[in-house]
Amino acid sequence: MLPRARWQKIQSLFEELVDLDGVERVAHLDKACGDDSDLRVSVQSLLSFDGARTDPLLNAIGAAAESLLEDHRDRLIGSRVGPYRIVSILGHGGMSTVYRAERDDSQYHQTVAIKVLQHAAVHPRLRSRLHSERHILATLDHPSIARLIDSGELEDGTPYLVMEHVDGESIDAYCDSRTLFVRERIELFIAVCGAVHYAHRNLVVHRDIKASNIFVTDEGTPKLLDFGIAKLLAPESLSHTLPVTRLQERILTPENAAPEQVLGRPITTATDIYALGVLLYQLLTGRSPYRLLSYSQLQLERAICMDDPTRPSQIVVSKLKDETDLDRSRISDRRGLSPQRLRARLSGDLDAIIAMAMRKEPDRRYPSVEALADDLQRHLLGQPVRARQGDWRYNSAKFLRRNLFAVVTAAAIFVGLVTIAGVTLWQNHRIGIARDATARERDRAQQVSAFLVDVFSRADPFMAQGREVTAKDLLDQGAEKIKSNDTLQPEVRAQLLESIGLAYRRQGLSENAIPLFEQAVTIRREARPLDNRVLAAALANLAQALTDAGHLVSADAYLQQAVALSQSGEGSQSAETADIVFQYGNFLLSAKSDPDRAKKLFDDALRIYRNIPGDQHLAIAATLSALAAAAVWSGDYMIAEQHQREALNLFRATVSRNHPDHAVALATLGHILAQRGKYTEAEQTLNEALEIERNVFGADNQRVASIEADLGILYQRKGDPARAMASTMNALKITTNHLGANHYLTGYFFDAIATLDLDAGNLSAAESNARQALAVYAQALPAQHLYVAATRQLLGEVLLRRGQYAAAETELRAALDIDIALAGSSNWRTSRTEASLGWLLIEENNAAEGEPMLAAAQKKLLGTLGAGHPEVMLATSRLADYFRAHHREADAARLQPIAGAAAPPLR
Amino acid sequence: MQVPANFTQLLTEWRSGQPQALDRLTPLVYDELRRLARGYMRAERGSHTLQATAVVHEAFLRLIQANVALQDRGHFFALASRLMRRVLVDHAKSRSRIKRNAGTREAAADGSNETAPHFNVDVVALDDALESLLQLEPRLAQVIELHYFGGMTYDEIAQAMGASAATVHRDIRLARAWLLNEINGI
Repeated sequence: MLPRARWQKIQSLFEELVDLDGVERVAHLDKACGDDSDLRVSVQSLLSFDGARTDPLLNAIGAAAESLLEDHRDRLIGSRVGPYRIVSILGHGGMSTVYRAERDDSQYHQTVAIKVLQHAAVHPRLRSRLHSERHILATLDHPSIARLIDSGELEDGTPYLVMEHVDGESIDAYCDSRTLFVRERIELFIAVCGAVHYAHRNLVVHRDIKASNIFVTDEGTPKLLDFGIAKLLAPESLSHTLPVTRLQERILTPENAAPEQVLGRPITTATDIYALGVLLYQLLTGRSPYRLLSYSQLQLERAICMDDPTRPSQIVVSKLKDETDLDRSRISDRRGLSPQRLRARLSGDLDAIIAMAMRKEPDRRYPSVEALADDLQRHLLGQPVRARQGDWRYNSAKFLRRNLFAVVTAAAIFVGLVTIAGVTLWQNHRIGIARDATARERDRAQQVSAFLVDVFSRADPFMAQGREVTAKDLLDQGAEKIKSNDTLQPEVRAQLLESIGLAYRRQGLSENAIPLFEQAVTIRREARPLDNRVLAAALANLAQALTDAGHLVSADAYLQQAVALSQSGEGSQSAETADIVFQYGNFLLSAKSDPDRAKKLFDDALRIYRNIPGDQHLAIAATLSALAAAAVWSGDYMIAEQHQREALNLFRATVSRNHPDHAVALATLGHILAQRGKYTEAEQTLNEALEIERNVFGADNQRVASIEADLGILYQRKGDPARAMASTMNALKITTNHLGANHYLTGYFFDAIATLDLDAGNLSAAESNARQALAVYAQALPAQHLYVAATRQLLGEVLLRRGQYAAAETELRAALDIDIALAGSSNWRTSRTEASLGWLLIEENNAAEGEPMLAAAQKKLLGTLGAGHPEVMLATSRLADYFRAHHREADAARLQPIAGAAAPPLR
Repeated sequence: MQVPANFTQLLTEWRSGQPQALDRLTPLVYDELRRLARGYMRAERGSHTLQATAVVHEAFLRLIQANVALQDRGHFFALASRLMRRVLVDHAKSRSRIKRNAGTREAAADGSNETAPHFNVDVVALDDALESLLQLEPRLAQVIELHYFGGMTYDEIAQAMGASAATVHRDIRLARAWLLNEINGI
């Protein structure tokens, strides 16, 4: 025991020194300890234990607690279960603990494994799963499948299974610890195939084949364990109810999952063939084809469905991140080869065989496990293998990328089936869900899903024989089947029409959707009793399709009906009503350019969403985004930025990066930031949005067009007219292809190009493109529309610069009338037109009217857009020119800093 | 959650030197730990020991929660954290006894799990070192008990002991360094 005084000295020194850094500490220590080296050692030793990154004391307590808690599992050790005595724990997984137990009575001695379900009371589903496992295993009798010996329940009702005890190690560890050559590994694998094939013949699919589920005994016999999630593949369970139950289960081992498991499609024997392909890949290369470490779960699932894995022969010579040459050669060492030799051994047959087993489409894999084993056998005998004959060169990644849209849509439709909703964008999500499902409604919902499953499982892109199936093909087939089927109840027919119509709309095929929605509305109107909410939803769907297709007048009429219906009666504060109100707000904003009325509707919708308990984040985010758009129309970019950032944060918190709404929100923020002069952040944001849209939805879609157009504006502001023109032209091209020559957006992009022409001084092109834009607007928009005003202002400006003053004045005065009527006299659009008109009047020698108009407009523009905005610079330099021409040098000089040194580039 | 009303009573009896009270207290702590552990342990992945430590701390807080109005908080907390220490250490000791008798456990079969990882400090060694520290400087031993076995924050300990949080922090740093030095020196 330390003397008291000594201890106190150590203590106070520790406290004195503990916060000093190294050099100071040493100096202090030298001074304080002098010759007393014992003291010095004591203090130094204490100090050395301070500040470790992990806290060993915390770990000690944690380990103690863990072992205490493990005793919960240990409590069975030593007890008797039936004729067996439990000896030790073999292992435990998420839902069960496996014990080693012995039977040692007069009859014989036997060691078994007993699998006991944990927390059975908490998870009744697991209990029934184990129950089914019992029956499955009982039917299997094969030397390479662990036998079920007995089953029962513990005193407290916990179920257990008694299984053959396998003494050995997992197949990958076995191969590595014995340095098995490639040939020996393949032979062992063929034995595993024999067991799986036997199970398949008995209508059992394993579903979770992986190295840790296959043990190899000392004698070299492989044994398949854990049919925990296997399901009987009996003929009656192959009916159309299958996909629905599939989705309830999550994949247990994502790295080994087959594409159909990721997509929630039917699991068949081909799923096991895929898993065997993964296993062979791992046994031969020491790597997994898809690794969770380098991916998020979502990316992993995407990779499994989209990307071909690195070829086995390739992966054995490549180094993964953080690996050394040593790590790499350790893998080939365990196969008795150098990396280069191993590569040569795998390339050719084995690459092809694994690729064929792991094909994305189940029906393009080996037709049976036996066929896979045969091909390996042929390889070992030096005979030509099947995988390299015929179409082995096929490229699944390309196939899937081409079909991505179909796959995504089909997956969305399947998800929709589970909720009986049809389609998943949030506005439409709820429509058609039988919320307070009566028995009749449930029955109807089942009919709908049965019908759709029937259509889509047959038109499954995976099952397309040698031909691409597009989403449109699926939908055309669906629509055709509805038409030809006259046994459908009216309500079921209406719901099917709406589901398919919504899917068409999401594909951008609104014209195809319109007749389906019209029929659905007719059916809903004739229904007795009349259901206002369902009718309102049907009308809103029809109106949206009409809006998308550019039929604005009838869209407006239907929307008004829909709003009136949904706001009458008890559902007036429901999410469905808010959806419709929101939709009308959007319509007023984009089709009618009426930001004030739109803003009121958005506020209404937002209030309703916020008062609804539960998860309305997406709806709220979309509404905030719409409020931002309304603020953009009003020229209030600061408010717009606030709303949009709030919306974006909500999207980030609730949906994946690739969600379409997230990409749109990003694009909108980019647009706003560009308008606010925050060019760097704007460019980053727009490019991120563009990347998501291109990767997920393809380069040729309307949202890509609008992002390109925003980038065009941005490049122009940054002084890169060539890129600006290229982006904007691309936007115009996509839009014309998609929406047609008479869609108002086509006009909008003509206007954008005319603006670029004007800035480049290309006046005749500018005039012709502006007139093109106006010609489109004449077809697509009401004459009183802000887009029309903007283009007439642009045309007036072009004509002004070409010296055609009379024609210019006509355009500018027409634009000004619309601006004042729709945007108000203080809006920057109005000021911009006034600035042009004022300058025109001055050029026409009418300075008495022109000068005050230009001066007032310049002041308002400066107030709303801020110095540095091209419009402000143009108006200001014009005013300064006027002052100089009239020898008012002082006034001109006062304006010079705002006008900028060079002539401003924009109108 | 119901902490039996007699938890306080039992704790007081234990403190006043009635050893049989401990026999009745221990199951209460066990039950609480297991009840909480069910939720924590289901995830079976990630940092096991830190999760387990969190279980200990939460159990402690739940056990004392029902008794916050207690007259002498400082003593009560000290006692409850001593109890937690007792339970963990006693279990570790009895377990190592069983292990010696039963031989070592076999490795996990399914590869999804592992036996308790190896740490350079175990709770029995920590317990011994704490006893030595108690002889040397009782205050330091107590802050360690409160912080590590009770999961109390510096502020809470400061409040219970009528000291400043800075003092508590300094004490814990010193005590931890001393304990590790002691344990590793053996």
